[in-house]
Amino acid sequence: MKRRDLLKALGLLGTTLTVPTLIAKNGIIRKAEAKSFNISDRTLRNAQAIVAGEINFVRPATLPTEINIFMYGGPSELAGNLSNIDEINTSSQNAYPNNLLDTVANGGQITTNGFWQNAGGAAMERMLASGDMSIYRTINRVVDDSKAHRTSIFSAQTGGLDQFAPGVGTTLAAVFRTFMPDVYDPAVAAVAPIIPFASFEGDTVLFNTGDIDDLPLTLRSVSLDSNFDNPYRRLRTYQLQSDSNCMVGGISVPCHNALDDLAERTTAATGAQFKTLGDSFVKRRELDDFFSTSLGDPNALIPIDNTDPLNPVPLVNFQGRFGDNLLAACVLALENADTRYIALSTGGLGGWDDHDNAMANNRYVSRMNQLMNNIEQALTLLANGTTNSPGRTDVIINVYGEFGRNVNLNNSLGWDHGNNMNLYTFGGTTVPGRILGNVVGTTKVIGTPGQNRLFTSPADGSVQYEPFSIASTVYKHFGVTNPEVLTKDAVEAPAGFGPIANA
Amino acid sequence: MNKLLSFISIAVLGAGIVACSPGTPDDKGTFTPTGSASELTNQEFNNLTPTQQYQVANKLMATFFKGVPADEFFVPASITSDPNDLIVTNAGVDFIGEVKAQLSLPLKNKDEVYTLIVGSPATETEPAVSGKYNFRGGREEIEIPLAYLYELPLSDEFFARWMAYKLANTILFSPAEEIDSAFVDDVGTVIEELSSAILANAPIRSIIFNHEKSQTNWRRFRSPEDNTREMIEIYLGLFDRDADVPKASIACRNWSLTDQNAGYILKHPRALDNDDPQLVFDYAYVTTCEDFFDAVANHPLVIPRMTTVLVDLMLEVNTDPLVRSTLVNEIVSSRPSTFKDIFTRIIFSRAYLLDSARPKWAEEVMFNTAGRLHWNPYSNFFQDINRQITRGEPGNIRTSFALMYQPALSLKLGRFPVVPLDALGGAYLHRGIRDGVMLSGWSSDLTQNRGSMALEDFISYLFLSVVARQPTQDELDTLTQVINSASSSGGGSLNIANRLNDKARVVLDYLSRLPETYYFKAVN
Repeated sequence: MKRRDLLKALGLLGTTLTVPTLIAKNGIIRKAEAKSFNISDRTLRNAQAIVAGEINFVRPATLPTEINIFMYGGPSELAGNLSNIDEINTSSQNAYPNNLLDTVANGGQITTNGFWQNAGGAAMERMLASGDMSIYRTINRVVDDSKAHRTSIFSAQTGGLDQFAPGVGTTLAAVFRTFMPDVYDPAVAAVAPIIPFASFEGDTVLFNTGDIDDLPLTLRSVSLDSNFDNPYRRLRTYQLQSDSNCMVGGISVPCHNALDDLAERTTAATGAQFKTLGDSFVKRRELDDFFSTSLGDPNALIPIDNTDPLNPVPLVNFQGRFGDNLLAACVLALENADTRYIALSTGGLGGWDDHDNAMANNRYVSRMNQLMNNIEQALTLLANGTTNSPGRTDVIINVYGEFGRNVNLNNSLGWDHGNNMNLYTFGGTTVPGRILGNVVGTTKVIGTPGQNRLFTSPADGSVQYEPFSIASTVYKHFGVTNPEVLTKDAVEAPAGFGPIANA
Repeated sequence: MNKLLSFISIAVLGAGIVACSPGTPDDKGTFTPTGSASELTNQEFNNLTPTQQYQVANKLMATFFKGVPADEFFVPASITSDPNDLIVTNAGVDFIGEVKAQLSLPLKNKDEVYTLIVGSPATETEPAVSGKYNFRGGREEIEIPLAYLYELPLSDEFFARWMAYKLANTILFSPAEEIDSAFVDDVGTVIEELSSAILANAPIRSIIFNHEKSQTNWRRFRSPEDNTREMIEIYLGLFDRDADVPKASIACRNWSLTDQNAGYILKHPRALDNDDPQLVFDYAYVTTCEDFFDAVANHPLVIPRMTTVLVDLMLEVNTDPLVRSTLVNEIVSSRPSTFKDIFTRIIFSRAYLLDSARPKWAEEVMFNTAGRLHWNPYSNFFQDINRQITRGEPGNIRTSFALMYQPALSLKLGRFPVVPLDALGGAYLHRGIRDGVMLSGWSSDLTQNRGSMALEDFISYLFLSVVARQPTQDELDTLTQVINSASSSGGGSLNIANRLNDKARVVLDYLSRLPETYYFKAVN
């Protein structure tokens, strides 16, 4: 029993009443009890590190923007790594298609760098060649390994082992406030930043507050939708029109402002009990004003490509709902100089929990292809800018999931939960320390032929990273020079996890 | 705080091992919960102030997606700006006991009630009957369950359907309609099978066993590794039994879904049954997949796990862990065997009715407010609110559960056990309450016979109706000024002060902006 399970589990607390001696003897309870003494070490990790001054910080000359694309469900690594496919195919319970075993040059699917041509491999080769992408093939969890979705998502998005810890975005916000108060501490800053943290997937663990529950509202994440159509607007009108004025306290004020002000006063007087929604309502009001005056339809901001004067076309062409979200994220990064960290899922493409029929109707292949093609469009837009704003070379896009998958094609013709996965990282070529154009890490195949637990693992001597190193790398980009302290675990990883080299 | 949590966890764990209270056996050999899980008695309820009674009554009814209007709970003439005037009607006396009793009574005129909602096709002798609501072709299985809950009176049938709806919105039994291999029909199957089994008082263990081996479950978790892992995690709460998964998968090796073109049909040819016993959970040997499912369903962790998930659902996981764990322990000690046992013990407990404080789920806030305001849904309401869109303004209500990040019966792992209240989700929820309930759809019953009330009393009446409290002086002053001085942009009076329903809309508009409208509050 892991400690996080104890925490999750009030279940365990409840279970203790009826679990038979048999199970208790097998150690579940004893282990949980023994390990639970250090819970506080974990949950206070981020807050303590910041408050206690453990963090070393060097303010970057310019702050980058990061777009974090999370592949919920746990993506197969094969689109980005066919280097072991012959051995995999030999040992798999079910055979892979023949064309997956041969190179593109020979009419197959394996690209020069071992990508899956039709599963985004062609786009990946282009982005790799242009120096806009690197792939890390050995993101492999060793510490406290888990193949459960929920625990793995929490680990990936909090950058640590404690699912109750703050998310990566929240930790960043706390770092900003502490080390760049002139911009990010409302008590000091002359002007509050607008939407420094945004989500195009609604609530996400990346912005869980954990123990950092005193962040000012300006540093909380804002959920947006892909066409900035101002969902914060109040639509229904009645006798009290939107432009009605009222005399309140002897002063003429817009009536609806008077109602909002009254609601905020009343809520503030009730203390913390309605704080979450109270904050959201205050944010709603701010955002209504912001969207009414600032951002418009993202598609209208795409520059026109006049290469062929007779046939001017939009410079980029994003596809599908995921493309809409990615376009909006890029436009936000370009149009709003304050935005630093954006959460995005691959919603619209489908999930990555490919337990069955992964190959049927090109399901996995199509998803990966759409993902990579849209990212290629994003890089073009980020480089060229919108019709309003110049391009940027300091916007990073990271793509990964909660874990990788087995490589055995199981009897349902899918892949079950595994471990080793890829990190795909794009753009941000001027961010200090980033060197792109690399395929990093080599893998070997582990498992018994004909059995389901067939998976890749870092090859002997290969570089490898824990998934937590992705969070550590993000912290590094924003000025934390010892991000290990933000990913450490008192018991399992007291030294923490360092950033990924060159990423 | 976390050090405290750590201490509490250990303390409670220890207490659970050595000193758990077994509950009180009654003369039938069943066990009555004690402590915070003990039931709120009628006497305790009747000893609360009238306003508190109304608050508790509406917390209970909101739980069931219903609401009690103030002018039915109180003698109408007693509703003024002075809460000391309030007199509870006969319907309000012993309210909790009455509700509990109704939940055990059979539904009268069942066929008529269902026909009213969905209509009936023509027969040789009878013409077709239109239902009260329009459901969207291909989506009815998602829309109808909520319409049933809205229309059905409290009864055993209602309670079973409500429990099925709640369970199917959790990780425990979600039909996962969002994923490729699941269909809208699976939603109907899960809801109907759950509600039928619950109505028949089937034990939790048998419901789980039957669900584990169902096609709907396999359409959610689609390979032997996937399915067996999830059964261990979902029904036992064990997240570190990875070594059991390959062994369980051997037992389930002949279970699979056909592919998409063949319709995702579950197959498990007996001829290919495994015959090599596998040791799982360190104590159970399983040979076939049904053996494994049986081992899960009869595992000692099942009841504690179900209780934990449902306590977390009803109290929300942000509630103090000690409160939740204590409630779990006390309910488990009372030896529940059915979902009705667990739900009943949570809902009618002191811990829930008096002490719980949490955000309301979308259905709870929407239909409770609706019930308090004599609101009626329009005919397309249940399809609009269940639209699976991720942006935009669907239908007349211009919002949906999906936009609030609370889609019903759809998510693979069920709704997350915390009500999403981020700015965007909160904005869409607010839009539903403000635009869809507070400003439209309520009947004149709300304001009928209120025309002679002083404005202060009228405002107080609406506050009592929606948030079960009196307005503050600031609220009274400001709302009075807004109502009395509202003018058009050209400066002309909007005449709100002379129109009762417009006065009501100003107050209700304001109440829709109050976060407390969206929360359950502790009574004390």
